[in-house]
Amino acid sequence: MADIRNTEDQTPGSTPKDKRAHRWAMVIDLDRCTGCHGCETACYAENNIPVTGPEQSHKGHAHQWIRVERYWEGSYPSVKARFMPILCQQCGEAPCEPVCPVYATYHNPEGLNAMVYNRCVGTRYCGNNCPYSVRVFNWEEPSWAEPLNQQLNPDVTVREKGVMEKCTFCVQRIRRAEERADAEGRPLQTDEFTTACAQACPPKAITWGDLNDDASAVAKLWKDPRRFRLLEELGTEPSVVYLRSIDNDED
Amino acid sequence: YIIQPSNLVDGVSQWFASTCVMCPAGCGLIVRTMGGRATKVEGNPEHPISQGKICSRGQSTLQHLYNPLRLRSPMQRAVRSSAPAPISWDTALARIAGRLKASRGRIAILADGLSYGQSPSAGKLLSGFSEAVGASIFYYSLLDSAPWRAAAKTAHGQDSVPLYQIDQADYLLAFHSDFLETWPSPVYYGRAFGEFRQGARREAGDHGRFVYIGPRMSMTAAKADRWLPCRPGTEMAVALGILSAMGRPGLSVVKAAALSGLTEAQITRVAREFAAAGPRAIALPGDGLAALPNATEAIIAVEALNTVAGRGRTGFGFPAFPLAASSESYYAQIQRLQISIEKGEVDALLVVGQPNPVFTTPPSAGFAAALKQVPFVTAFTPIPDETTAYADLLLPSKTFLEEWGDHLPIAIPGDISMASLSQPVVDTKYIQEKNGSAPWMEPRGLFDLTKAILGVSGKPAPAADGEGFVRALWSASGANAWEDRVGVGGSWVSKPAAGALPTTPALPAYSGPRTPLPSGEFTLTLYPHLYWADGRNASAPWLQEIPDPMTMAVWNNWVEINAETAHRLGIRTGDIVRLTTDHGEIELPAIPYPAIHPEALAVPIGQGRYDFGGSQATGHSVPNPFALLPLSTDKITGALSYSGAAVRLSKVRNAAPGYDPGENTLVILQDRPGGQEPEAVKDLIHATARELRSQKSNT
Repeated sequence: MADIRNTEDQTPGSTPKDKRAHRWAMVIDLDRCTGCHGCETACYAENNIPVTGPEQSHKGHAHQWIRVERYWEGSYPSVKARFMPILCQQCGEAPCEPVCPVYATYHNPEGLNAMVYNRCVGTRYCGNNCPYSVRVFNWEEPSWAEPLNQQLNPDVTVREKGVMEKCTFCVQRIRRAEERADAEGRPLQTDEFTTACAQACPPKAITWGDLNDDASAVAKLWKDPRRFRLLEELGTEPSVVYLRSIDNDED
Repeated sequence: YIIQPSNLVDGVSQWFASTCVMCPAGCGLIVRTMGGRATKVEGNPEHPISQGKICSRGQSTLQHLYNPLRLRSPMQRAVRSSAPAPISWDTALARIAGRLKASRGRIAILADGLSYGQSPSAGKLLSGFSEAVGASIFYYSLLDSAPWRAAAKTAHGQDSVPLYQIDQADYLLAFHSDFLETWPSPVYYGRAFGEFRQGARREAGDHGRFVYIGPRMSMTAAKADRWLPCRPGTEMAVALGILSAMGRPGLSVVKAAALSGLTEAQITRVAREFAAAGPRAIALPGDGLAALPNATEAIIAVEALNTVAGRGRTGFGFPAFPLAASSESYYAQIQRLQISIEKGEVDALLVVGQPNPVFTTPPSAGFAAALKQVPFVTAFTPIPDETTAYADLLLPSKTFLEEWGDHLPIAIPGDISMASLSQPVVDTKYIQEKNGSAPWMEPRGLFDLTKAILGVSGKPAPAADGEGFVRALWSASGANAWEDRVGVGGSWVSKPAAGALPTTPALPAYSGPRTPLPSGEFTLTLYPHLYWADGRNASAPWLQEIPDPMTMAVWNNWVEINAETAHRLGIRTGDIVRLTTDHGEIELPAIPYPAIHPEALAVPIGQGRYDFGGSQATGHSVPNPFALLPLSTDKITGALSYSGAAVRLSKVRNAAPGYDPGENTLVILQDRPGGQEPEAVKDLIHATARELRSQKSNT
């Protein structure tokens, strides 16, 4: 399939129309987000993310594909804590892609930054080049103490030691929905499925869907006046839009 | 498979509705199974409480089901202190039936207040069983709604926990209420909070306002527009002060300010805002108040705010079954049991589920010592715990994902009558031993256990099987077909709304701390953690590796100390400090915490289990903070007060460099240097309501 990266309209605030059938995107409303990490647990469950233990965590080798950052601001008693879920931004101009010597990470036709695990040779160049620090490396062979292995999701590969991994926008769910729609001989319906993190999120802070579908929830929220994209000045064209949280303490 | 599970089609997922019993909320679940294995737990979109949403604990029920620490077969201890050895079910049942027959009339059953105390069918089963064998039943779990129910009865005439419709509110006033984290219903409130912030009402008008009053900035308090750190235990004074500033009886603002350490201006401003919001204002009591020695009175003072000025945002739903459990608080039941044991009236004790009082009551109260005096203790549990360490006989129990059961959520949305169902979603006997055909574990359900014991004793069982028992109970209520109820995971119907709430109740006098702390003393604030609750969820590896939302700590426990106080005492992150009371001392890693009252020291509850979060998985020696507590109870309901003890603090040693389990290394994920927002996002991630208004008017 042709490289479509240069054909799309990426102007902030506009809904791009390009030749792709779908453009998967996410909006995270920080005003709704309660910082509960429910998204993170959902991601562990959906994507067979290994638990690394305290020693590996101490080395910074824990495996969260989505993490909820907590930022402190001010000092006691005028202090604020703020939460921000951070995951792969599925960049339109992804810094991780051109540095991979073996094309293990590439731009798929629907605009996702995809990983081909069995191409990865573990140079970690992609992780170094990612401004969002969302790629994680398998420093150890993943293992699940029996019978915890019974819970593994059969739709998702378990990654080996030496392989880089990251958020896929739950590509297995996209494929499953597409196959179901194909089998039923119909197009995908608006918001008929979503990612594991968005599905779990109690306050509905995470909205995910097809930006090319004007009726989708994500297309409506994409233009919200509170929008910003993370490190947008780098020109990475993220597919994740954040909506600012609101402090309402003035008289 | 030797025998294939029914309805199994290779490569096709099957989904089963169930109900989470890992906290009192009772959220609806749907469990995805593939090839007879449960692979994911998600929220049930049809369930009125969770509406398709789910918290970390609910998702981790999968790791409860497949936990490596699960009891695999019945075990027996020759001597109490010895390691248990496997025995067959037949031997175990014969032994227990023999002991129960010999001890008739001198038998006690200690059942899990959470998984069984909120279940109509389990309650009925246990009461029938105890009648047949001649036993008395006691219920226990740490999270006790008794003070809340008692306060709602005084304030609103309803003996149940209210569900506050915060999605309909414009002004939220939380009194040490971590409603987004722990009980009564974090998923319901998480969902409603999203609507409070950005729901339909926000499109019309101003941004809502949320004010949190409490000594520690919890995850919930972090979402507030204004956090007012009062002295620990003085929340009631603030509530009474606000009432008096609104022209009601209460406590003068001057006194409330002096007691709480807040300023008079802070209190009158809240009173002004609360009054201005009229019926769109809600006051929320919470877990922090329920843990205090004046729990019921403090909650009445907060509920009094909800009865002012025609509020109607506090809802009471209806359980579809009468609650079997009495209104007696859990700890009062433990005390009765303990007295009965100490009098020598208990010859046999059957512990059912995971009430685990040895872990969640103060050792100084002596329950563990009393357990030692019981001649014969049997524990029926999925995972051994601190209490079952005293058992002569250990019987593996199914989890709620493997058997038929039901659950009454602790708080039900107003105008709904409901109960929730669970069904076996997997059969763990299909987990085979590696390189063999023996089942990995052979747990039994509560129904099967009681039936087998009754059978050995020559008595009839109340039904043919567990499904039949639950079904018979449910068929007596409502019209829906059983299959429909199983399909959606329960039964819920609309009921007419309860009448208007009564006017302001008789207010109790302020009963919190009055005098300043002696120098060098702190007030211990224990809080049930949003992942581990009372410790029953601590064995799930996910809940150990996902960082605490505020400290970003994993795989350990810690004590939060006001950052300036810590600096003054030369305590830095990860340093080991000692907490001392008249009843015990523990050593924990310290976290200088930017948002906690200088008089408070906060420690989460739930870590320090012997399994995960304890020495087994981490090599750390993680102590249980209950070791510090004096015995203190709510004076009205007798519920256990686990917050408010006086505690002293001293530094033991500096944090060791690198990771060293012997040094109890604190592991913190993803903390930014200095803990501050990085410059790159500083001005991006939030705005004031005023800025947004002017941005809106410019476009």
